[in-house]
Amino acid sequence: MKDFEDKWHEATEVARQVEPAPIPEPPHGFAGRIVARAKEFEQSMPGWFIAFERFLFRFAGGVALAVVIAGGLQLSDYLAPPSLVPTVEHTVVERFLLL
Amino acid sequence: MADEVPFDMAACLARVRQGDDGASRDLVEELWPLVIKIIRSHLPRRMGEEDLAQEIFLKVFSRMDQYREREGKPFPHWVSRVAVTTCLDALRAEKRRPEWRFADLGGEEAHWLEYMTAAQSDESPTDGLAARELMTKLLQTLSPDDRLVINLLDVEQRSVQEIADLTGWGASKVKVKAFRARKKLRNAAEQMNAEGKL
Repeated sequence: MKDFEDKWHEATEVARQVEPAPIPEPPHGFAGRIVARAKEFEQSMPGWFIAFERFLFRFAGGVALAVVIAGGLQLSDYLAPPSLVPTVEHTVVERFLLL
Repeated sequence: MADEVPFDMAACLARVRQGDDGASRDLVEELWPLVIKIIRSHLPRRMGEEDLAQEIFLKVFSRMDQYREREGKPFPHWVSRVAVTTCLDALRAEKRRPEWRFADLGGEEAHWLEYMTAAQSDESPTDGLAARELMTKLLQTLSPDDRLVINLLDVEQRSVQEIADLTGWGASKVKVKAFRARKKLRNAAEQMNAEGKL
């Protein structure tokens, strides 16, 4: 017995046999309009802006990577067992309290 | 009759990069059938073919420097990817999906729907045009991503790898999406057919 999927494939097979509508020629002046608009767009974005945009993307990527690494280090510090040796901050605070 | 000279894509691209307007126009005319074919398979309801084609070509020209010949992908393939993702964005931008009812179907479309959802296998209908119309209506009930994957996989018979290349999704994501989309398609068909029997 055929299930839905088999019948769906059968329908797509039958539908594929229908001649597709012919592809019309591009409208008159279409290519010229595209080229003019593409140039207009290119001129509206100066070269320095494109270079700056690329730099910005790389910089953002670098910052994201640094954040991930710092987060990882922070997490490993947090998960590590507490040290028995008092940290520098503790000794400084203790000495301050003794004064 | 004179033999047609094959289009030299590499030479044309080199001239486009040098700022040759004539070469840019030739490129648009050469790629027009490919772009229109893709648009027709995924066209959002409220958008004209020409508007979408214009958006695709403008993206192609503005991102031309992102295309790398040495990666081995032919330029039309890269353009197809731009076209497919632009269509997907346009589909996602549609606020509402159409709600087709059994009453909206033509006689032969209803015949196909009954055949597809019936437990017993009757003799299959043969009207290709009706099959295509019904498929379009059922696909329109799916989300843009699901619709795209089924269209490419089942209707256009593209391979999973091709779809992965076109959409930028991984092969396993394509397979999972297709599996889920077919399930939703089946539910949509059964729901529509059940309405007809009320």
